[in-house]
Amino acid sequence: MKTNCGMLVVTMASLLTVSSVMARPDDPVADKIVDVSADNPGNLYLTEMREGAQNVITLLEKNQAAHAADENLWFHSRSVYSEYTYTDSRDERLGGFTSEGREGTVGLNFLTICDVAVSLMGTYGQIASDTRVPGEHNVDNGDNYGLTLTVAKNCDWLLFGASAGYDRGYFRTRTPNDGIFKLEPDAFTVAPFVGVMYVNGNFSFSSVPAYMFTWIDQDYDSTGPTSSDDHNNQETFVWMNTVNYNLCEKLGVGVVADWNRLTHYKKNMEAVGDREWLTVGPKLSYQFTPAWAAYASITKDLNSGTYKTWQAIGGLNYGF
Amino acid sequence: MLRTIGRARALHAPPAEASLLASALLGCGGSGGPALPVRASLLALLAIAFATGLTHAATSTPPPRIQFVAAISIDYASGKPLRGWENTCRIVQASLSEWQGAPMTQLVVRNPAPAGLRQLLRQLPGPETGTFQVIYLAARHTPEGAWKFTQALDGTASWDDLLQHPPPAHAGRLVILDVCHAGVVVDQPVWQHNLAPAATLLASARDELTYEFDFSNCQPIDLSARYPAATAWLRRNLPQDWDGRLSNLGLAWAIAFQQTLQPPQSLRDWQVFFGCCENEAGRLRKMLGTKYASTVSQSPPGPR
Repeated sequence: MKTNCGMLVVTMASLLTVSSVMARPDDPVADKIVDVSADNPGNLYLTEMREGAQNVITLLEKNQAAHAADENLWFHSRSVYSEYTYTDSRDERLGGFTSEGREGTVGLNFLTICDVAVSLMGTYGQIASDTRVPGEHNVDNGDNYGLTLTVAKNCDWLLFGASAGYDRGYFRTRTPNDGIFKLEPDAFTVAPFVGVMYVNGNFSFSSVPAYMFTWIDQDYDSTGPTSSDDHNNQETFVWMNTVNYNLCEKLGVGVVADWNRLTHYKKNMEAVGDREWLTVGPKLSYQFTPAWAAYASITKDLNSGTYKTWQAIGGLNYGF
Repeated sequence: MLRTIGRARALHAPPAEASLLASALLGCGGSGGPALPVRASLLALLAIAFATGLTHAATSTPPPRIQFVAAISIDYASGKPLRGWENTCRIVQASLSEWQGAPMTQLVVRNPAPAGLRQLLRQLPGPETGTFQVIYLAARHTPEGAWKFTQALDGTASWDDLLQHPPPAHAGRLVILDVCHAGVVVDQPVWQHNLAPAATLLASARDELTYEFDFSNCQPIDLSARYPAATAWLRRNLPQDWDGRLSNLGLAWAIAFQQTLQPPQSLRDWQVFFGCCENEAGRLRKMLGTKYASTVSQSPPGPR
């Protein structure tokens, strides 16, 4: 479940904030854009971490069956998947961005020795945004590449693990005074998590809090007077909850409810809007054969006063 | 009831006669005459069964005596316990008891230590205790062919080690090896010469893992819906709090057992039954794919 688009929007908003610090334009509209910038700056990386964690949790939930082999199996219970995500995010504030994001993901999930679950995923996303200022509009677009590795293990109902990720972005933003900012952030994330999982027949449940540390090195360049870089460190607490039920051999249903809280962010982003919000939505899976399955979900951010974000995900999974 | 009567008569009368009489009375095929009303048919069948029993009492052949021996390592210090294999041991016992129709000599050892397993295998009885000796073995098993014991300090032991002192020979020794990489024993001289089974049912090929199935989960396939008769029989013969787990070979055995009306009377019959287990496991493998289901086979290969 990703709100990749939300994060990309925030990244670009961060760009405006930073650029305004370096060379603040004398433009009331641009000032307003700067003031409402940098909302929920951890979203992109947060959602990639969340997906990696959900991959390993699902892998552990579905692989409850024992096998009569020595434990030292390096590569078993494998699956590969591909996924497409569409995100629509609207900053309700004056001058806020309306964004559409499209992202593709490919991933590999497997169990290794001692039944440790591993998820490795690569993402590529594109985003296009526009501000909704009367008489003005700024167009933003960008690409983002990401790689995330997540490992986890369960001991009966107790589940623990960690996620690590790297992202590289290339964003271009045109401001009202025809300035062009190029932002190329490098982001590193680490997120340990400890939680609980329960599986009984067709029913499974997991509740996993995680704490994510993000370090962003923002290299930006502009047509303005200067170019520079900046560092942005953030910390986010996210509590991931999922319920799944197999209705029949082919169909499974579930619900996602994640609570997110931005606990630490860079001080000059004082116009941060949403510091905590809820992401909820249903999901559906369809099993064509024991090896092939398709899935889809829709989530919406609730209790988010600033950003109205919804996201649709569809994917295909193959076990081998 | 009819199926039970049919089976009882099959034990004490030539099968052809039993089926001819049943079809004649019930009009369910065969070369018999017109069918009688149901109640009259049942009474007639019971009367004939009683009369036939009296007539053949002096000459009926008792079922072959079966001795059951099992060694299963279940409760490992790390990793998941092999509950599915424990349940398979129970249903193999139950099926043999049903075929035997009388109390059966049996010995089940759970979580043996290396010395205990060596002793069990060394002291397997000879043919005086039963026409057939069915041995069920289940544990974690390495690709090189070693039994892994539940206690970490005990480690593993190869079949060369476990069978270094061969048991008395038994022409009716049948071994069910329900482990991963089971096929590796086929090429081991100590297995063929020291244990010398007349037939071995192997739960997996030498390079395969074998998993347990979960009847309480309808994915990846709904076993309860696809095999209702086998499921009902399993529920009758397993504890009330059965968690739904059964090994891959155990499921193939349960399905094959439902299809086998005559208990095996000879080594060839056992090979045919093992062949039935092979076929059912093959169907499971086609349905589930190689990720979930292993190749069940017998050694030496059974009759075609």
